[in-house]
Parts: sequence; C-alpha cells; structure tokens
Amino acid sequence: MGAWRHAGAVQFSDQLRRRSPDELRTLLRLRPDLLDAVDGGWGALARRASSPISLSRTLVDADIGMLVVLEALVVAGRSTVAELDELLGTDDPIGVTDAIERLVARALVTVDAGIVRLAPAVGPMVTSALGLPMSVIDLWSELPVPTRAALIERAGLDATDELPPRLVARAVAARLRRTNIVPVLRAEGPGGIAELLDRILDGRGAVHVPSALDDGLGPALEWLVVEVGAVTSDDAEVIGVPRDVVMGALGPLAPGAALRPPGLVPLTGPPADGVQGSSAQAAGRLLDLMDSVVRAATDGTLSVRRDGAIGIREVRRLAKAFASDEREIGFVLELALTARLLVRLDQIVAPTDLAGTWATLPRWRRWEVLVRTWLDQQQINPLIGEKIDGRTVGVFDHLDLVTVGAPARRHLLATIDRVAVGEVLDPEALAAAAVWRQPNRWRLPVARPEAWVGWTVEEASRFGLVVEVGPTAVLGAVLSAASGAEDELHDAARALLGEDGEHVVLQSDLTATALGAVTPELTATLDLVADRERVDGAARWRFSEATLRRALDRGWTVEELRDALDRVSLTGRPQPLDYLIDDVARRHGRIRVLPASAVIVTEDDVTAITLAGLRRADRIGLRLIAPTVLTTTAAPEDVLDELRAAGHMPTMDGDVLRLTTTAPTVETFHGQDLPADWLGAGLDPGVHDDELAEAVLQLAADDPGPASVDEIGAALGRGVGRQVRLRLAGERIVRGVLLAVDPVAVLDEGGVELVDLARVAEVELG
Amino acid sequence: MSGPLVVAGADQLLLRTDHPEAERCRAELARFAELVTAPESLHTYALGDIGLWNAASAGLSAESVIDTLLRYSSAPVPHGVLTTVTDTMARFGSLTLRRAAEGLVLAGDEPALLDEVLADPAAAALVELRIDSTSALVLDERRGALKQRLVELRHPVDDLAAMSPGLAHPLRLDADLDLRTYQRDAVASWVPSGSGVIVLPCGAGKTVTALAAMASIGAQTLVLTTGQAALDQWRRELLRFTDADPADLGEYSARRKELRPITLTTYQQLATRRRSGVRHLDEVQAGDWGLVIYDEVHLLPSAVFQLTAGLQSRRRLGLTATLVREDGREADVFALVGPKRFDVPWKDLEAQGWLAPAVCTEIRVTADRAELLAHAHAEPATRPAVAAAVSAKRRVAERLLARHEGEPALVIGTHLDALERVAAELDLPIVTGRTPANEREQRYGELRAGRLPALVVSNVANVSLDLPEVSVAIQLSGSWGSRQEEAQRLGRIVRPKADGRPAHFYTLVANDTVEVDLARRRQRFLTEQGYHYDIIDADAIA
Repeated sequence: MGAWRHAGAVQFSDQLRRRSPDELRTLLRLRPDLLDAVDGGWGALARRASSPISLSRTLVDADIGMLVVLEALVVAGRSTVAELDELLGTDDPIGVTDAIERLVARALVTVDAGIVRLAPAVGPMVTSALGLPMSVIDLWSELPVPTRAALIERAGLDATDELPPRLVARAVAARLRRTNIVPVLRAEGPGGIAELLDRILDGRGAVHVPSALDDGLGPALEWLVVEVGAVTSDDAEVIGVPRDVVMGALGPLAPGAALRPPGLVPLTGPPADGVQGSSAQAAGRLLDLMDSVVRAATDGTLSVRRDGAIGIREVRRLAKAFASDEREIGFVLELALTARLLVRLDQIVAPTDLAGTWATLPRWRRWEVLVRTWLDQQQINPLIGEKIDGRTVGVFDHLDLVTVGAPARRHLLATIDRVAVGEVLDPEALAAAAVWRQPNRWRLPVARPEAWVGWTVEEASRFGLVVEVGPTAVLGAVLSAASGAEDELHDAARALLGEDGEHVVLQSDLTATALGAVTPELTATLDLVADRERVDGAARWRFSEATLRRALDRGWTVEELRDALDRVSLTGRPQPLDYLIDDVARRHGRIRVLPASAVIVTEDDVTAITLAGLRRADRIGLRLIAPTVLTTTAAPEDVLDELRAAGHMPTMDGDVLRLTTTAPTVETFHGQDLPADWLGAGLDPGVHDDELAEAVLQLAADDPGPASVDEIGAALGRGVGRQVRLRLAGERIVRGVLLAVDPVAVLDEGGVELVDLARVAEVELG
Repeated sequence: MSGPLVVAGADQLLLRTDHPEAERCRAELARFAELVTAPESLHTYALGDIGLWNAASAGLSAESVIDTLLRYSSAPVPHGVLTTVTDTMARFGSLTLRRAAEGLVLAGDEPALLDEVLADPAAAALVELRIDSTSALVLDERRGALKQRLVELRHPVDDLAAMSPGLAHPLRLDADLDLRTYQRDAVASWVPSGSGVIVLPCGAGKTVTALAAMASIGAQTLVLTTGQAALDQWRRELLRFTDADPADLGEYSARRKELRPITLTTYQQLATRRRSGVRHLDEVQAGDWGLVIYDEVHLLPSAVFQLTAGLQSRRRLGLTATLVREDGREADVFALVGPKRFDVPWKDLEAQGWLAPAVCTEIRVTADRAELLAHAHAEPATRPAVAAAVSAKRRVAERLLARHEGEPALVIGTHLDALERVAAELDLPIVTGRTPANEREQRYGELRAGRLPALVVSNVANVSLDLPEVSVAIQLSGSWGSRQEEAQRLGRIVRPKADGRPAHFYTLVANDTVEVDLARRRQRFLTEQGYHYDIIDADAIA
C-alpha cells in the first residue's frame, strides 16, 4: 500500500502540474491552506492536498452536489459522467458535469480522457451526503476477527489471507456497497432484527441505543454489532452501521439530495429608503446596547458562573434594564467578549482597555469593529434562555453546540447580497440554498439547519446588514472589504451611521437629546453629567441632582460644568438646568467620611474593579467606594500580602496607610492585546490576488511544467513506428516501438503495453 | 430631505419646533401619533396601537400616515416603522360587531382571522356560537368583555351595532349659549358613532360640549363624575346652560340616591356597595339610559370599567384633557368607551383666544435655620408637610397678591395645617374638604363676584371648579409631584379673561428641601405639555 500511496501522490503532483495558471489560482483560492506547501514545490503541494487535514477543510465546505458525486465515485470507482448520472439516477448529465468541475477546481477528483477519478486519499474522507457512519475501510483495523470474517463472507470474497488488510477492507467495502445484504441479515438475525434494521435504514445508518434496548431489541443489536461491525458514536447512545452496508441497501443518494442548488427568486421588498432607515436604526441600536452593556460592567456587578458562563439571571437583569430581551443581550455580551471589549475575570465581567479605545472611536468605526468581529466569530448562540439538560443556557454556555463558522456566515451573506437593495428572499428558500451550499457547516445539534440559518440572518439584521432577508447598502461594502476594499466599507459605514455630531438639544425638562450620532467625547461628557434614558433611537440623557453631583465628585467645578454644557448645546442652557446646577453645587461636598484602616488607590477604574472582583477581596474586606478607590478594614500588612499574592505590586505611600497598586500584567487581562485586524487590516482570512499570483509564479519557477496532453499527443504522432522513451506519471519509464497514440501502444519485449495518453508526462523519440 | 421630523423609532418621532414646517407637521402628526413630551425645542410623538386605531377609526388610511412620515422626515424612515403603521392600522376594522336577525354578530374579513382570535380561550368563551367560517354570535351582555379581550389580542373590533336609544328626554341648550366652533366640531365628530372620547384641554369647556352632545341625543343620561365637587359643578352648568328642569336632575351619591332622567353620580359611589351587599353600580345600571357620560375619563376606576362593559349598547361619551392614564389602561378606555373622536391642542385654543396664555413661574424661597433643622429631623414621609409650612412662603404669597391686586386669585396647597396658617396670616377664607358644601359655594360665589380678593383652597379645587375670572394661582405645596394635579390646577386659571389678561401660575418652592425635587417632577410634566416656566428667587418679588 505504501508504494501505491507514493505512486498516487506522484501522479497527483503531475495532475496539479498540468493545471493552467488560472486553474492553479482557483485551486489555491478555494483551498488556501495549500499555499503553505508552495515553497516545497509540486510534490509538497500534492502531499498537502492529499493530507486528511487539508481534505477535511475542503470537504466541510463542499456542497451537496459535490458530495453526491463524490459518494457515487466512492461506490462506483472511476466512472464517466454518463455512468455517474446513471448511477445517481438524476438524468442530469450537465448537473453532474458542473459538480465535477467544482470538484476538479478543488483537486478532489481528476478527469483524464473522460474518466472521473477520486483524487488520492479523498475516498475515505468523503462525508456522506446522507451523513452515514464510517466505512468498513476505516473501521477495519479496529474490528474483531470474527466480525472481519463475517464481513468477508457476506461480501462473497474468499482467499483473502494473502492480501494486505487494507486491500481486503477496500474489497469488502466495494462489494458491500454494490450488494444489498440487508435481506440476508434479516433472514439470519435473531428476533427483532427486522425491526432493528428498519430503524437503522430510517435513521440513515444510526439507531438510538436506549430506545432500542427499551423495546427489547438488545439481542438483535448485539448480533448486528458482531456481524457488521456497528460502532458507537461519541455520545455512546447511538450505534451506527458501516455506511457501506447502508449504501448497499439505500443506494448512494440521499432522498432529495440535489445536484443543483434550490432556486432563489428575488421578491419585492421594502423600498430602498425604508431599508436604509431600518438598517441605520438597527446598527444604532446595536451600538447603543453594546455601549450600555459595557458600561453596566464597569461597576463590577456583572458576575460569571464558576464554569465561565454568564448566567441567565444576569442576562435577564440587563435585558430588563435596557428594554431588550435575553437573546439580544446574550448576543451583545458574546460579541463584547469576542471583541475583547469585556473580559471574564475571576468572578465578574469587566471592561478591558480595548473598551476604552473602542469608546473613543467615531460611531461608524465602532460599528466596523463589531461587524468585523462578528464576521470572524465562530459561535452563534440563539439558545440563550432555552432549557437544555435541565439548565437554562447562559452566555458563553454550551458553546459545543453553537459553532456555525465564519465561512458559512459569509457565504450566507453573499447569497443575500446577490439580490438588489429593495428585494428580499424567501427565508425558507434562502435556508434551503444555504444548506445545499454548505450542508456540513449547517448540520448542527439542537435544531434543524434551516433554523440555524434563520438565526444567522437575525444576527445580521442586528448589524443592519440585512433587512427582512434582503441586503442593505452596507452589506455589499462589508463583503467587498474582504477583498481589500476598505475605503468602500468606511464610506458605507459613514453613510449608515453618519458623522458624529458635536451638539445636543438641551431643554427645560432637564434633558439632552441627540438628533443623530454624537462624538465619543460628547457621549462621555453627557454620560458623566446625566443619565442616559434611551439606549436606542435618538439618544437622550436626563440631568438630575445625582448626575450633576457625580460630575462634581469627579472634580468638575460648577463653571466647568456650565462651560461644557454651553459648548455642546444647540439651544443654550435652559434656566431650570441652571437652577439644578446651583441646587447641587450648594450642597455638594459638605460631608465626606471614609472609615477605613487602609485606602487603596488604583491608577484606573478597571484595576479597581478587578481588585473588588477578586475572591481574596472578601478576605481582606475590600470595598469599592469610588471608581478608583477601595477601602479595607484589614491590617495594611495583610492587605499588602494578599494583593501581592494576587499578582499585584502594591507599595506603601507615606505613613497614611495609602497603597498604590498597578494592574497585574498576567492572567486576567491577557486578552487585551489589540488583534491585528481589530481596526480593519482585512475582513477575510482568505487569500488576496497578489498572494495567489506570487504562489503560481513560485510553482512555475520550481518546474516549468509538462507539455499539455495535446502537445504530448502531437509529439507522439510524429513518432509512430519509431523507438520511443516515455516517462509516465508515477515516474515509470516505458521503452519500445510506438504503435498508436490514443491510447498509447508501445511494443517491447514483453508484448504490447497500452497506456492512457493522459498519463504520459515526457516523450523522447529515438 | 430636510423636514422637521426625526423618526428614530415608532415610539420616538422627534419634531423640531424651530423648523419652518413644524406647525404643519404637528397638525398632521396629531391625527395619528400621541404627543409624549413637548418641551421647547423638540416634541416627542409616539406611534402606538391606540393612536393608530383611533386614526383608522377616524377614516385615516395607513398610506396617508406613511406619506406624512416620509414627507416630513429629515432622514430615511426605518422600514419597521412603516410596517408597524400598516400592520397596526390594518387590524382595526378587520373584525366588526353588527346587529343581525340572529342577534349581535362578530364578523371577520376572512375565516383565518376569526379562527385566530377564537383560538384564544378567553375570547372563545365570550362567543356564544360560531355561525360560519367568518361570523359568530355574541350575547349582548358579553359585548364589552369581548371588545376588551379583542383589544388585548390586538384585533380591535369596529362596533357597528346600533345603540339602544334609551328613554327619550329632550334637552335644549340655552339660546344665549354660543357654542365655540371646536365644541360644535367635537360634538359633530362624536354623534354619528355615539361612542368615543372627546379630548379638550383644561378650560376649553368640556362640560358645555357634553351638554351639547346631550341635547343632540335627547335621551335619559347618566353622568359619571370624579367627585362631589364635580357633580355639583355639573348640576350648576346643566341648570345654567340648558332648559333642564331641576326636578329631572337626580343625584346618586353618598348623600342622595335619586335616579332621574338626568342622573349625576361619582365614580367612587359606583365602586361601593350598600350595606345589604347590593352594588350601587347594579342599581344605576338598571336605568334605560340613552347616553352615559364619563367625565375625566382618564380617571375611570377599574370597578367602573365593569359597568361600562355592561353598557355597550348605550351611547357613551368620554371627556378628558389627556388620554394618558397613570395606570396604563388606555386600551380599556378605547375598547369600552370608544376611540378618540376629537382632539385639539391647547396651543391652538390659546392662539384662537379660547384659552388665556399662562405664565408659569417657580419662586425659590429660603427656609430659616430652624425650619431647615426641622426638615432635616423629620421622617421622610412628613418632610413635604414641613417644607410646605416654610414661613417665607407666606411672605412671598402676600407680595404676589399685592402685585396682582384686583385680579381674583387662588392660593392652593395640599397640607392643611400650613394652608390654615397662611389663610389666617393673610386673613383670607379657606375652603377644604371639611368645608360644608354650601359654605364652599358661598366662598366661590364671593370670589367670582369680586367680593373676595383671593381664596385659600386645598385639593378640593383641583378639578371641576369653574372660576373663569381667576387669573392668578399661587401653589404653596403639591401631592408628591403628581403630574395630573399640576395640570388640573393650571387648568383652573386658563379660562379666557374678559380683558384678555394672561394667567399667572406661581409655585413656591423652599430651597434645600424635598420640595425642590417634587417641584421638578411636577414641572417636568408642565414642560412636557409645552408650557414654559421661569425660575426666580423670592428676592426678585418686590
């Protein structure tokens, strides 16, 4: 088998070498992980392309048309298009051809002289379009000897003792796929086998063990395990029969599996103006909610469960506070944590330094950061608030269930973007198309693939990328940014959210209202001197004694307060607001008592929150009394020890029991490094054209490449009747008198050898 | 686009009042959106179910509403807002109630709609019989409850069933009474349907408008009022402006239990029972009323909703200055009394001279050290009373009365001890809840006649007190920042004056006391209603 693999790899490298530069670029774009192998030349490229990891990366994005054809090839071996069409029963040779072209582009099959073959190592990697369990080829080495013997017998093979085990396994698999052995199993098995087999065929090769046992099918199950090598899945509750057995009974095609994608017909949607308005409204709401959630975390009261998830109670609390719902708040929290605006500490969630940076960006830039994060985010968690296993799902909870993957999200958005702004797609048709396009991405636990697609659309609409399953103007820009059109995205984001304003309307009802987006500086000022009343729509703040006192607590003077309000007001300073300021100023600062044995002053509020959130804080009685000030009633020496033990560097400051500390440089804030693409170095981890062109040039330099088949054919045409030396793919040399060109016939001492013209790599005429 | 409107969401339509088109836009918005706040620069409107259904019931189309939003908006209107308009308005009238041969029939546009609403167990229980796929039979006594439930399900029914005429009782308006144009319009809007609410600002003559409605119906009428003072006021107006025979006027109250062709009662009375356990409500309901009038319908208590649910075959007229209810039961008013039929902003009436312009002023007084200490030591619940009694208020009130000499004035407050002290110190008579009715009327009469320069009054004067020539109100204290109280007190003085002088509404607030915060809450409401007020220090009052 080793020799076979080697030969296969070499053959495959020749196949790759024959690709035109355009085809090669396409291959590298579709399988970008191959770029890493370019340095090693064609051989390395072929080996990488045949590696399980590379193949699994490619196959996870294969569409149902490709998977169906691959499966037919696994069953039938090399075939012509007509044969595949007949085997599939599709009566759609063009559909088969299209699927093959997509497979060829990805180097998953090769086509020589009309014969379609699986590329090396692809067969075992093919994920059934049916989602069937493993093949006996992959199971063989793990199967008990009696099971192997039973399978060999049922496959009708004999004299296999001398053959390598893998060859036997392949032979058994091939026979089983062609032969329906289910009637035989029904006839031979113990009581209950017929029902069990029906369940297995209905379940596409799998059966739920506990219910089978409950129904008295245990003996049949045990018998089947021994006879056909059924195996247990990861969760131990499902037993799967080898796919070869099921395919023998069902055929290779899943019912309804189509070679072509379902049609998508654009429908008339909301008018373009309405789309833009809704898009801006959604984007604005998301930003406001994010801002509110991040600010809500600054007081250190947003707690984390022991398992790292944020419990549903916290989510509900925020949802109530911000007139939202669990799903929306959950989404915002997960986005905030993924974007590293928030970080989970020991017991609480706290804002990071990045949150501070983010808050200083213009609104449209803040939106860009969030949308980029989301596009690359792996998880989607629509289950927040749902009960699973008796527990309500919280934020960053059950992530094993919620991975959709960025590529699926991008493809889905690209599909939506194909229709014009003002047109929409039927949600069910879109879901069907998305699932056809990437079935392996959307097959997820808990819900049907269509539901996952719907949830992803819902998330997109939260950014204003999608309105009523139709694209918005900004969606195209986001997708274009993936290919480097950054300016286009900036322009679209600006158009969506507008430039930040520097003024608000101050009114006698003690409110400040923004008629659009305002600068982060203005937002920060208003957040200090007033309370935000609305988190969506036109932002509105309300002044009160408490809010103005807050500003004075921060060291603002009354004059500074008035100056600041004068600067930002479009409408002057209303008299009631003036009186309110006076009322507060008159009473402010009269009393200040701080009972404490030690005061800890930190350099920033995040550090203070971190300290307050430490489990050790309880032990030393730390209390957060101001944004950067904590007090304790513990002995200063104990405080010093505990803070040092927690990784801080406290120092005594004079004799007033004052401690200065700096934030720890390890553990809690490890997530604060600015990600390279955080502000837009590129949306798509995919490959840019320049990189592809360079790779192709590099491969060309490694080997100028073989002559084309036509050139080889032409050369051979001139040598009929003459001595030739042919180097075949696989490096074998054939010498003799050339009798014919296609197929190539060479007469040597052993007789006439026939060779596919496509396999001839070099010709030397004597 | 450069219109005056910013549509930030269905519940946040911001109107820039300094925009040249603001007035036109406001007039159009008033047809379908509820004014939420109206401070000086930005007015906030909201699109809600009730407002849009009111608009639909008035014949406004969704296209017309959308056209207004698009025409005046300064930025693209979110599509969600437009679909909210379309969906919500389409719901009104898709279900109807009509009188047919078999009885009262609930009918839907299409079978699916009736299936949907009757899938609700509560709604299904109120339906007697499914006649066919699009109609069902409803018993008369369940008519109100069903309408309420359908509003809760967001499928408001258009009640087109004919009203019971009730026993006839002709009533004519006094020949000298010249109804104002808007009062005629209000009655004309209400009469065709015979149910619904007329919204007029305080001082705009709601009672007279209701009398005109009574005259146009000419049937026995039950009038539900907010209290004894209001009931007395109604009686006075009936006798003054109509040809009602006093013998035909009945009073069903704590002091009398008369049921006559025109019966006046109070919400409180209907919510209680006789000692025998019989509900007053049931006794009153037994009358063959051709019209039921709900004065200050925004105060309609829950118990009376029950009565109203049982009176769905009678004509119903709600009167109010605001549809906003503190308990959020606007939908019940819509379902049981009826949609808003008429509304006119007070600004319009002020511009037309039907309301006196009001000058609102908050005057800050300084409590002395002893008073501040007493305030500091007081329990939180009693601090307002301590603040109300700050002596400087009396001095300021005196100066204000002197400033407005010759103008009838009210000195209003909530805390009786403080009021009595001020009355004694200013040598003015006082009217409180404890004052006998005849003495109250005598005092009011003296004030009207100009024999008294001013009157000290408690909360009894908050509603239904008609003192048209009073143009000065000095508010010494209020009830924990009640929004309604502030508007009602202001409403006492905005009746237009013969000489065209403006009304002055003063609020005295003691610095550094709980009053500052309470006053701020009350004034927020006034500001949101569009009134402007100035704050000055007591020293500025000469």
